[in-house]
Amino acid sequence: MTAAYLLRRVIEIVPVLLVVTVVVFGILHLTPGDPARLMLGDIASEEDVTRLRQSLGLERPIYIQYLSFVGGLLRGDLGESLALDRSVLTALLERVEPTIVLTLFSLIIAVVFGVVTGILSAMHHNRWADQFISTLALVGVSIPNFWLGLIFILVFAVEFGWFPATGYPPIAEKGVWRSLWHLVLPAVALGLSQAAIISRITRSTMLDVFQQDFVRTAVAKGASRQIVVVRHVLTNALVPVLTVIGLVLAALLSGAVVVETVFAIPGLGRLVISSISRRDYPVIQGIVLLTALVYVVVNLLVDLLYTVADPRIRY
Amino acid sequence: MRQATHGGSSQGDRLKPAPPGRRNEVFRVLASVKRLFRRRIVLYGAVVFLILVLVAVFADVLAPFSPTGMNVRSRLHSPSSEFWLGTDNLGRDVLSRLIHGARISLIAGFASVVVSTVAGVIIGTLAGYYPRADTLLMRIMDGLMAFPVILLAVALMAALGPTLINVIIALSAVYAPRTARIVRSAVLGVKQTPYVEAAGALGSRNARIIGRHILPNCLSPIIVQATFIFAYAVQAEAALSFLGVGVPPSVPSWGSMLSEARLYMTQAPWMMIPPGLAIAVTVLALNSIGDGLRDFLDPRFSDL
Repeated sequence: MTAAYLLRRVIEIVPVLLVVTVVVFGILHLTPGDPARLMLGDIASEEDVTRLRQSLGLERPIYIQYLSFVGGLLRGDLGESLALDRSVLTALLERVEPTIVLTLFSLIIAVVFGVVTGILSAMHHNRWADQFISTLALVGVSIPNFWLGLIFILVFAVEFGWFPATGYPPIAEKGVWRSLWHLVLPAVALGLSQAAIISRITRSTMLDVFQQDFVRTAVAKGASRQIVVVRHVLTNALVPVLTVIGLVLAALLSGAVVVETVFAIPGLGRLVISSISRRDYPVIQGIVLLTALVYVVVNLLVDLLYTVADPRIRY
Repeated sequence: MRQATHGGSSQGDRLKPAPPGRRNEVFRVLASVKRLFRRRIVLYGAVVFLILVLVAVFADVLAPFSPTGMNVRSRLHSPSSEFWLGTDNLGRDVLSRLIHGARISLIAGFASVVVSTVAGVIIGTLAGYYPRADTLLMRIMDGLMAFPVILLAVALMAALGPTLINVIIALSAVYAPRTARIVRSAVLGVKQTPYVEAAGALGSRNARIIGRHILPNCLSPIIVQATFIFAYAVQAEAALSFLGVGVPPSVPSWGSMLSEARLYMTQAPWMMIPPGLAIAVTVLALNSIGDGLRDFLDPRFSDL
């Protein structure tokens, strides 16, 4: 990996971010009516609407508004929340912890579960274990995560009482284990469908690698099945898995919005939904922007890691 | 003599010039469909999907009660001979709402597929065929794909307001870039084939080359992608309605049924099982059809 490649990849992000900011800016201006009226609702007085319109600068030409929006972003200023009496950035930072922990937790579940079942499937290609796991994976991607979450609550929290049904105590208050304990059910509900996707990819790439000449050579040399699988097949089969991590993360962030609502976890997903009923558009914009940024950065890192994981890829 | 020709009469048929006309075409298609359904799971998926379509079409006839008719006296009844799947917190029949919910799910899913596929095919073809448009269009698509699906849809719904039409608009905006990317790479591949070059050399106009030569050869990935998007869109509509930003609460939708069921989970667990199962079965049917179509149309991925 050369410095020139790194620089080129970073420059390539610029147009993507440009589109992202246009879309996020557009959320407020997409509606046919007056954004200030939209935010305050029908009962607000005309004076209030005029005041908000002035304080948001909605009187100015649209491109000036966009430029000042982007200018604010570059200074780290996401605007002021209309309902929470603090800046959008502060509001987001207060609620970001549960979402980060939940997403990473379910990412780990998805990768571990997906890779293990994928390996089992490939090793028992076309036998019952493979068929069973493949069917399970197909069912796994089809079950909506929020319904799975509801069933988990009913069975494991209400019926058996093994896990807490809802909520999330911050790590600073109750410690890491209590916080994670609250997230076991949500993380599994969120991670399983992604595990199914990773399982399918691991299986198919492993089957591909089994066909390669170097595997045949290893077997011909008399290497044990274990050595062949671990040293030759797995190391090669896991590279494609790495590339989908960016996509999996996007799906998890997406799913977190829904799963946080199911389990009443006070994260960014719940914040975005409650902001909709409060018509707090700056907060909605902030959350959408933040998740898009995370996605772009993670994908860049995955691409860069790709070149480290697979030395054959050179730029 | 017969030993020399493998496969007997079919070999003989092949030597004859193909009779022109529709009949032949119809038989060819039927033969392909039969081959497709030889995979059991595709057949099951198609049968289940067909049943769902019929349920949605004849919802008014099939539903024993009105899906919106409230009856305070019969609140939260458990399943009985009168209410097969019980009643909800407002005394509405769960089965009738489930049956009518199929309509909303399938309409939202199908319309999103149609709109996003048409938009995706247009954008993807332009990007793949005209190198000058490529960078601009695909950077815009990359930007749109940087948003997590549900979050972008939620934000669009916040701006547009909760109606079925807006759900379709939001989901189409979310999925069109994904189709565009697939169409673009397919077009790029076909564009380099000798027959497209030949058509260009013969002086065919671009519109004719795209319509007659390129798009027909890109159909397989488009069909496969459309099937999967149908599955995603059904799930996404349910998620949006579950979050309260999808179709309005008065409309019986599987997602909004689940969000009500959540509040009565311990009192009335029967409210929770049917809508979720319905979503899962619909998505499973579409996913199996998609898997089957992909193996069938693009054997390269048959092991995926």
